[in-house]
Amino acid sequence: MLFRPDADDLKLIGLYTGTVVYGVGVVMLVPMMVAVALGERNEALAFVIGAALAVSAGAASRLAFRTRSSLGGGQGLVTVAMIWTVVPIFGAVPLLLSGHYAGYLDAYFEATSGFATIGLTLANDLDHMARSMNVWRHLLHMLGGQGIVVVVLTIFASAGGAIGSLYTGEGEKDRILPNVVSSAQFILRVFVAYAAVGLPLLWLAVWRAGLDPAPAVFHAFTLFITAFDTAGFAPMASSAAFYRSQLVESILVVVMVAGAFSFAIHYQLWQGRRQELIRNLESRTAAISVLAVFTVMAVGLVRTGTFTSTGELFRHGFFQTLSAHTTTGLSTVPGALFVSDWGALAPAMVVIGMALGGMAGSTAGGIKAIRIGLLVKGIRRDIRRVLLPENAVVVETYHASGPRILRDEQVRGAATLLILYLLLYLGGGMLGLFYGYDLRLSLFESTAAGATGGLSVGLVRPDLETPLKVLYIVQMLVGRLEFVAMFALAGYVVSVLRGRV
Amino acid sequence: MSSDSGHPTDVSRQRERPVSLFRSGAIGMALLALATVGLVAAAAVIAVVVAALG
Repeated sequence: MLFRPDADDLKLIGLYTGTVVYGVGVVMLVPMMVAVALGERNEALAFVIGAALAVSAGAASRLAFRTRSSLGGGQGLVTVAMIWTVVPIFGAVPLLLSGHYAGYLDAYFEATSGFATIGLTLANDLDHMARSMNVWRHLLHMLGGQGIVVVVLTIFASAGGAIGSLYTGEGEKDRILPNVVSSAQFILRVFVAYAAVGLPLLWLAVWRAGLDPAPAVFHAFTLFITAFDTAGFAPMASSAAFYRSQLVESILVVVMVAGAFSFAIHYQLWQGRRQELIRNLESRTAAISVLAVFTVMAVGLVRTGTFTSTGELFRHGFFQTLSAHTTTGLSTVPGALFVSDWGALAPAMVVIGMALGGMAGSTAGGIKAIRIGLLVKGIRRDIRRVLLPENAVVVETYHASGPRILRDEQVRGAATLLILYLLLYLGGGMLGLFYGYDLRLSLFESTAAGATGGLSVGLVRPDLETPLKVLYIVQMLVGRLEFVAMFALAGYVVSVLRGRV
Repeated sequence: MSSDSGHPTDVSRQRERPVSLFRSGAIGMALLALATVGLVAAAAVIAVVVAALG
């Protein structure tokens, strides 16, 4: 289907994309009501215009592409890629009208960064942005974050054995729940449960940090969304450093980890299968990876003498390790310090943390712990095959919701994604080099975009060269959707251009 | 029990238990928070050791 779509495919893709755009338009009414309540009249008007455009386009699309066919695997992939490309077109409208962006491209960049849960920003004067507009930026995180988990655990996982394996490291049989609706319901339950605990705690912590109770509600809301959706936007330009509070940072650490945890493991825990936390290959790999990255980072920081006390080294070093590794992007230190004060080794570990990323089936991006775990298992199996007699049967097992046997297909899929991600990070870095930026800056920002990491050393700013802005948008989408969906969309577009539809 | 994919056990074939927001959810969240505290403690030990050696 992917490379020979017919007119019915076009209808289906248009129908589902239109439905989501319609829904995004309706959600835009939430920040509009916030704007009305807070007396932010210009912003309220911006949201009315944005919502009107999205609802009109969505409704028109639903009418134009009416069909009784149901969405198949290949069509699902193209639809997902279309949704992540088209939603920011409408999400950018109120951002553009806010006056905080230099032009539509910057607003589209911001909306893509929001919807793809990246966290890189091109906003001018963020500290004076209206609250309702900041609520919208974070709602984009929430829509895209919870949305991608539903998509990965249902549409991607059911797209066929090989593709399913690429996305989840497991495959079609391992969807946590049988369909989109039940998966979405569970994901929403987990979100609500964590919000019920995390929001009040963050509110108290932000209040205790010195903010008044009313603004603290707004800050707690935005911080919770950005941490649980491993996203990266913050209401203030100085990110988490604004609060200067260890309590706020401690709560954020727990929320970030919960957000980067696979919803398949959340599901197992909620089913009472507690051993999953310790035995699961992905949670083990992630824990080892986080501690390894932090150890090397700590060595780098000690060698550079960045912090005068071990407490400060641990506080900032571990927060940045987790923020990078979970691909959240919140920061307790100004990004420029990564280059000026952190030496060479520690920032490299921030980049590696972002590149590796969180867990599959979560809002985190990057290569994902399951793929690293499967690759290590695959390497171990190959070494054993070499060492043991030729006729010995070598079977490698691992634990993921039960004992499993490692299959060649899984290792191949993990290796393919690893190579694609490395090419994505390096490719983006090359264009940065072309424009004369230092290798460290180029690779840092490119990885932040491709891995949905969102930390920045300052290269992403409003006066960034336009080709780099466009490249980072592409990297954000390709990295978020893990290649295959974007490849499917590209194949579909080529087919349309060749007149095969 | 074997499955099509050759796995000895399979999530989709396991008997589903009811997912309760307040009971199972609370236990699941507490376990994850505990695991995070463990991770933070391990990192703190690493920081102390690295700082002492450096």
